[in-house]
Amino acid sequence: MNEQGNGARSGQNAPLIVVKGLQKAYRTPAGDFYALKGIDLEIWPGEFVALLGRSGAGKSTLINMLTGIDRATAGEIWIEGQALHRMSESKLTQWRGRRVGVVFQSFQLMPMLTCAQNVMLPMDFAKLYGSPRRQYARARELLALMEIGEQADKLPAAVSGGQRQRVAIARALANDPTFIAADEPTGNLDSRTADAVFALFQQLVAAGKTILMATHDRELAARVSRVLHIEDGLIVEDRRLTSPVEGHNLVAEMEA
Amino acid sequence: MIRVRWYKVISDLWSHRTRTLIVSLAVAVGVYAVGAILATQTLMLREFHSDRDEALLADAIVYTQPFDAELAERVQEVPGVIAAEGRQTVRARVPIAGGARRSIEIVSIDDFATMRVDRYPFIAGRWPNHKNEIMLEHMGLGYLEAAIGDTITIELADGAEKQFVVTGIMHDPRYPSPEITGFTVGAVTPDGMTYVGGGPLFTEMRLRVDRSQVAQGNIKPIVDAVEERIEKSGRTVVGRTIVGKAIIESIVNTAVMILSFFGWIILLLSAFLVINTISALIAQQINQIGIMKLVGASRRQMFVMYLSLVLVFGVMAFSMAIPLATWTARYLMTNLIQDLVNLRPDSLDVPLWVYGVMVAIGVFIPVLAGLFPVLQGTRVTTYAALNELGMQTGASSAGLFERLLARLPRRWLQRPLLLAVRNTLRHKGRLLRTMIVMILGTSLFIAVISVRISVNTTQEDFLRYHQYDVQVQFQESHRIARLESATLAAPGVVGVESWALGGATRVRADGGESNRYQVIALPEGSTMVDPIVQAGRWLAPDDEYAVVLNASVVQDEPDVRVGDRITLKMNERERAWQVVGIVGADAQGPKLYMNQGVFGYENRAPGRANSVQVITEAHDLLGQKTMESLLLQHFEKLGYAVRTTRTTQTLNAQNGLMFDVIVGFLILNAVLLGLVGSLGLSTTMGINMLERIREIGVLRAIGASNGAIRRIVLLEGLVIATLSWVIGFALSYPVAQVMSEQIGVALLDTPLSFTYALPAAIAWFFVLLALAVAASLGPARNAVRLTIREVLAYE
Repeated sequence: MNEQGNGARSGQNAPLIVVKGLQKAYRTPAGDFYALKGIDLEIWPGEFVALLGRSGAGKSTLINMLTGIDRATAGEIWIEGQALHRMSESKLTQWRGRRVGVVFQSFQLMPMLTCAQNVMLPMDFAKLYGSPRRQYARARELLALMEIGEQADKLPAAVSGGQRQRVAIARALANDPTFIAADEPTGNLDSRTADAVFALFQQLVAAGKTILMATHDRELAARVSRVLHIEDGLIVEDRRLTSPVEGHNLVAEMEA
Repeated sequence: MIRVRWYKVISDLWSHRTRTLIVSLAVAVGVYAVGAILATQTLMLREFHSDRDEALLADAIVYTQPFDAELAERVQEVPGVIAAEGRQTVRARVPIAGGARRSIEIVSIDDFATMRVDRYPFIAGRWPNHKNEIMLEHMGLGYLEAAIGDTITIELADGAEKQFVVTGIMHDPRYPSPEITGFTVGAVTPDGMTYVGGGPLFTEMRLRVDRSQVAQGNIKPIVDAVEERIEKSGRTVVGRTIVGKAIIESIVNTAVMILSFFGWIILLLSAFLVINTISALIAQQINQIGIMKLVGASRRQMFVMYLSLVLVFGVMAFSMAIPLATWTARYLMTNLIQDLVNLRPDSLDVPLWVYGVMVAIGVFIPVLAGLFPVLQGTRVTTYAALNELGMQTGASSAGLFERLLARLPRRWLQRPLLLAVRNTLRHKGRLLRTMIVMILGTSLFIAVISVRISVNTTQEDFLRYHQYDVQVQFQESHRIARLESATLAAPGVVGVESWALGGATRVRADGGESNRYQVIALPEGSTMVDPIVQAGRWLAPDDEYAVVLNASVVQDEPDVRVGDRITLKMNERERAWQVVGIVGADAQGPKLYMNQGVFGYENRAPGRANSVQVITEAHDLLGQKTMESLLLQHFEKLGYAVRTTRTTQTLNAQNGLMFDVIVGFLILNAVLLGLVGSLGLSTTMGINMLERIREIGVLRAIGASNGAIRRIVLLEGLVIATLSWVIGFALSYPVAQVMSEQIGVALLDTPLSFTYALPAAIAWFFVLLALAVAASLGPARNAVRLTIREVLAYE
């Protein structure tokens, strides 16, 4: 496994995520607006993939499709051999709770629960990791992994933005998911905190997680193993990076 | 350690304590209303029926020539008769402090230990066993200002006075409070009856009939058979009474009817409140629902969480409401109902099933009310929930009202008012429910006040049949000229009119006879009766064998119409009479009105009367009472034997007491309705503001002053209140009319004289406006209190 998290393709027989002809249209008074116009994609286990693009390009929409938060208008989505495009809303919810961790720009934490309780929530709904006491113990472990173990019993409002995002990441890891989808996870953070969060993601990838991260931040994008450039609902560039230098060069190309 | 999802539920309850309290209060009002009403109704009916069952009340009374106990034994053998017992009754008076006299009905009992009909349950003391001992009805003690062991003076019809020792008290559940009936009851031995001028024998055969026959209304053939048996013994039957619904039963049934109606209405309104509040709660939690769905919560799991929340509201509600409801029921029983209706409750224990109903309502109302919003909320897609598109359906598109608003000229609707009106239309479902609560509250409140005023009007209408101050009834008829001359000689007398009072029965087509109706024979051109003619006409001076019935007679004789010829039996003579009119009742029972001349002829007493109706200088209660005593003394001095006297103020007060129970319940329900209406508006305004805190922050960020924000919020409340009042006002008239009619018919067998409470309706408008301002002030103050940064960051 290299530092880009590019160990994905070696030793793995099948892609984790397969997307074919994915389209998503929104009804507007002016007619259907296609946020995704036909995406074909494969993501392999262990990849650290950045979804890069301007606002409105379709990054969040693609994340929503791959996490089952929203439903495609057309096309197929296969994750671990499961056909998301055929699942009902309730099945998607259950599958997501067990197999996917989602991190948002706005954290999306339950304000009335402590940091540890927020992390316990997915375990409780999925009925995993035994009794509440054991779930609490696991939550504390995950928060310690995120280097905020001492904040476990505080409410989200009592901790900083960066710490809240760490809580959100810990929650995303609660049920040991197959992959983690992050939508602008550093968007509300200062650069130092953003770096710290990104470093966490790198550690997770190094531990074997697959991460798909939508981001504006081209500096961060340069440090992943694969960059998908999305524009007007289509993937216009799909580049696997072998080194940070390659990543910076790619970013410079995009900015030109 | 409990599952983490329940920490969310507990936190939702605790951190929004005000909301938790408001929702619980909304449910509690409904539980309390139904519970208090059900408990009161149950206690009242239970004790009412228990008292009457214990008393083994007569189903019929046959009046006949004197008989002994042996005849009663033989009558008991008549098929269908369960028990027969002889009684004799005389009316007398008891002087009390201040010179007034109170009426007493003295009844003789052969054997107190073996009463089989019209028993008088023993309360305290002992039964009389000497001729000068008397057992009083327990409410008679206060009425006659006596105590057990006291000696009271009984004034007989011939003026003689007898002393009786009060040996004890008993209960006669046939009659309500003596303050309503105008008399009390005392029981004596047969020797005691002889002592007061009656005889040792009996003149009333009191009968209890097979219950199945009573249920089928088949008492008449049994009474016919009893009369035949009596006549076979050589005695003449002089009359009968089939004991129908007593006034006390009318009061109880009317009270129950009112209680039931209002109880369920208030419950329905509180359910609307709960729906509003829970809908808003779910709408406010839509993002949290999204988060829970994000991390894998199933719909069923969230459904259970929210329904548990709702169940807690219910538990809090019935915990508050149950003690209060049972206390209210017991308070009403002991302080209002018991004495007015003359109940002697064996127990004030509320049956367990009533508690069960209250618990069930406390649980089911919030669960049912919350079912739809919870189902709807948990059905929202994860995407919609996370983006707080939530349950707002159609909110972005302009509905009919919005389009209409847009067309109105701007000078009609200034911007703040336009914003306020648009804001109220945002959540049409919530607005509709709030307005239903306020509209129903408004229309019922005005209706209740209208009924209260209609009661007053009805009482005034009753007095149209008694346009005098004092009535004096004599033991015998006297020549009218001498009677009126004697009356006018009394000081303080301004005018007098003599009436001949008697009785008649109607002989029906099948040969059966009705109960005995009071006959009032009036002089030509009587000025003391101002009848409310419902059909036909009043008596004309030249009418012969013409009779006018009051509405109470028509209730008993529903086949009779104006123009019909009916057979009346008076003084053992049957004659055909033409029904020329039907007039309103006066709460004094069925009455037949006829001209004095023909009455005198039929009763072989022409030119004679047995009562004078006196107009005095004083018309107030004390003045009339004084004149009543004065006239009594005056006639006694002149040698006239007075049977009874009464004043119209006392009559009015007695009628008023009868309505007091009903009006008391109406006012209680009006207060509850007002409370529910206020709660409805407060919760809606509070919820509306809570949902728009960010919007208000944006308005302030772009320059709206605090005053402008307050104006918009206040206007919103005023718009809702005004709209609700207008619709409620429009509905209130027909509602008041129907309510007035139903209560009148239930209580008096005739509708109340309806008077609409327009001043109350207008006053209620200003009350609603004031409530709207009060309900909006809190949210308006909260909206401007936070900094712009705080409201924009509000989560």
